[in-house]
Amino acid sequence: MNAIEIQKLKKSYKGFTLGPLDLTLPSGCILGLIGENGAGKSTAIKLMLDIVPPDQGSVCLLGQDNQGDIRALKEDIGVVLDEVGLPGYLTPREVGKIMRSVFRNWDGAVYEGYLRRFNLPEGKRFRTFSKGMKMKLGFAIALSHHPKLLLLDEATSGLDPVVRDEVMDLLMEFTRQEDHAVLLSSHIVSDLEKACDYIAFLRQGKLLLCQEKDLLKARYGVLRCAREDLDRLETGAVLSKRETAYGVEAIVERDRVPAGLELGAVDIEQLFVVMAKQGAKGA
Amino acid sequence: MKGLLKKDLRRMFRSWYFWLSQVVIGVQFLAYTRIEDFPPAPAFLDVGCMIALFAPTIILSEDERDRWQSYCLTLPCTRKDYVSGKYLLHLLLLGIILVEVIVFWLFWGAWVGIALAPMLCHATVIVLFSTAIRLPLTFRFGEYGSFALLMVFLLPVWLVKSDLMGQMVLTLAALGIFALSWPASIRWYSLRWKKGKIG
Repeated sequence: MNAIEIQKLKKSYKGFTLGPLDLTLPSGCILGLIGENGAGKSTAIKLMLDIVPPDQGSVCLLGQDNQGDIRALKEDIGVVLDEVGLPGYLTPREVGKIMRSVFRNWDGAVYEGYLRRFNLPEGKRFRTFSKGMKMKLGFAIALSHHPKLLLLDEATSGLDPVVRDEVMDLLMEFTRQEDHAVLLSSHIVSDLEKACDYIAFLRQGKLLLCQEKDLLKARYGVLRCAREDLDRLETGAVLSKRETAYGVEAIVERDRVPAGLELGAVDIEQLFVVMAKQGAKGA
Repeated sequence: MKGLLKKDLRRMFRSWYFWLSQVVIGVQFLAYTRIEDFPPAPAFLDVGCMIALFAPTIILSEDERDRWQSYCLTLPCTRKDYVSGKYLLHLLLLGIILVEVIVFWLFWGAWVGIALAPMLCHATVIVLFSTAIRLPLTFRFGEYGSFALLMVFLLPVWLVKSDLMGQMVLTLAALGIFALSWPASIRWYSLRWKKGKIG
């Protein structure tokens, strides 16, 4: 089953249009949605949750249309936004009591387990928490009602590397179950590269690509060679090139490079920057 | 919805506006019922009711500031639940005020011969009428600016010096406006989300 199926989704605001967006995420996988600030990542997530109604298109989450019983659907979804919007006067203990009335499947023991795991004081007010602690509490809430799908919007931005690493471990742990899936949006590509199975690039509301990370890495490579060697490649094989003191460094399509030239692995961030620039030229 | 209401009630009971309003209503009840021209005009409840209404107003502005409006919609709650939660909160607040008035009446007012019904009607009119006007404006335009309009709309209510029948008519009118205002708020709040004015 697909955890997320988006078809021709479109939303227009004054001066910005998202889509039409087509995107699929199979269960058991993590999808990294990469895009610069204002690319439409948050809007896409809000459309998925029907927080914002779409202008056109459809969204199916966990096999159900999000225009159906969205309340029941959200019981199976955990969400962490870039800012956890809890009232500052609440303590984690009080948050637990409130969430018990919000989620049918709320598991107090799991929640308390996460509070302990994240070293979050139960009696301290949310407004006194650091950014990292707030995000951890957001994760504790998102995971304590046994969700099947996690939607994380810039949830790792602003966190220190240690906390980010903890969060990544948590996500890997979560997707060990086959019916679980995660959509993680971020502009910090290194985070996504570590954890994601699928990568989607979003730029100015348009989806540049959505592909398996391993396929992307298998398709593109980094060629470090002399200028003359690069000039011998067929047109279109080179996505981008940069002159260095030792020659040329280029991102190329592996299939179109003749045998004998050694190719290095491309990282997703390089690829995103190149595609974003190409998108900008094409626009 | 239950969770949203729980959160709002927790906040309301921590609001000093709420407790101040309870004290003001109590003190005014005792003070006004001692003056000579019995029965006192039920308008003495206005101040207490208005102070009480600050408590849910502050919750609304805090929801916007804390980004709770976005966050709660990621939970199993809808825009309709959010709006309805606020209407129910105001009804609960009204209930608390009415209970307080009844308690004071039982322990003091009844002995000095004050009629209960006009007071209950008056408190109901003030709370429901102001809520019915203010909430749709808040959900349509945000929290700012709705207060000035509230005062304009409340002025006629304060100016009306009506008998019990008049009070009852006003109460029914307030109930009617309140009932109309509820779906209007849901519609306008959804429209604000649709236009990207929130979030």
